[in-house]
Amino acid sequence: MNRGVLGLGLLVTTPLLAILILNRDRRPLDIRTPLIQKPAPDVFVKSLDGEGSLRLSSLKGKPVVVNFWASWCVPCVEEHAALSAFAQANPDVAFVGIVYEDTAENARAFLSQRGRAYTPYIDDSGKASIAFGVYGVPETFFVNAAGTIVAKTVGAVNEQSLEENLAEARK
Amino acid sequence: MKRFLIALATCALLSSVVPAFSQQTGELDEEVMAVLGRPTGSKPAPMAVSQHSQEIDSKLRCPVCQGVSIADSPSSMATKMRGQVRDLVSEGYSDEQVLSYFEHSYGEFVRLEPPLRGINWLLWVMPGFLLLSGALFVFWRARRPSDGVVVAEVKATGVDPASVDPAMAKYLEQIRRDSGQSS
Repeated sequence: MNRGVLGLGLLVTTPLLAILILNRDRRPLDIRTPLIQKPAPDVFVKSLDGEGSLRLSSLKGKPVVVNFWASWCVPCVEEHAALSAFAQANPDVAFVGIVYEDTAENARAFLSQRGRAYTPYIDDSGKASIAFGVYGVPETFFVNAAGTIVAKTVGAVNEQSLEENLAEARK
Repeated sequence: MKRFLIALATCALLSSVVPAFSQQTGELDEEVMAVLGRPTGSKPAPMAVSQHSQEIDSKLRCPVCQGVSIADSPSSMATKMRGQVRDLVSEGYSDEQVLSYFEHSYGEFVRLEPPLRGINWLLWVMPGFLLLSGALFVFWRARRPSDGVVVAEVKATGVDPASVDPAMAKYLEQIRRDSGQSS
């Protein structure tokens, strides 16, 4: 075989193989966010029930779990029980559920059917989702008492992932 | 006259729409300020806002689509992002500031045109480099004398290269055999 062609082939394939090997442990669901270790966006959201609103910075001083969800999202149904149970078991943590790309009626129907453990909010304008860089639902952000995002999960959370990430937020 | 009236009507319509957007931006002004600081420019005219926003829309990737800009996506999320772009432009934020705002939360992936910095230089330089290398390779191959030319040279000059370079003897013999000139 022509040595030049062999050398050129190796030159092209070696970096590609290196990328493949270096990323073998990476999960496809791990969408990297540039917001980790950055201040949580000071978003303003309205209550799902139409009365009241929340500015996220008002929760500074305690760990916060910000969960973006929608009634049409299947993993959101899966994680709802775990989130509710965890919120009830951890009263020192503020849980903020923000409805993403959904109608208030559908979100309220979802909660009346499955129960609500914390105040739900809705992101009508999409600005909170944009500020948090949400790609889809469910996405959950863990914010420490200083207001810094310390972790993010994509997909349904469970008891284990909530415990691990909340431990990080409590540090 | 007709064009003037249409332009006047468009201006009136836009000026009635823009304050509504400004009211919406009141929600996140503090958040935007925390990320971008103050706008570097002054508030543009309503007509300019629309045109300017569309240019920026075409440079931002729709996060819920596959490789489509928010200008080309009919999704609800893209519509909301276009609204945010319009809000920022109408407040006087520059193109780079608006793009930076989205990059701050979504990462560089949200830009359809990677900025010229860091490893991105490779993305911009490599296509030209590869094209140039390919052209040079083709040029070099085209100039290299082929086997047929060698035979022709032997015939024309009467000098057998094999007698000059013994390593070429077996190749020359093979060429002669293939071309029916075997001695």
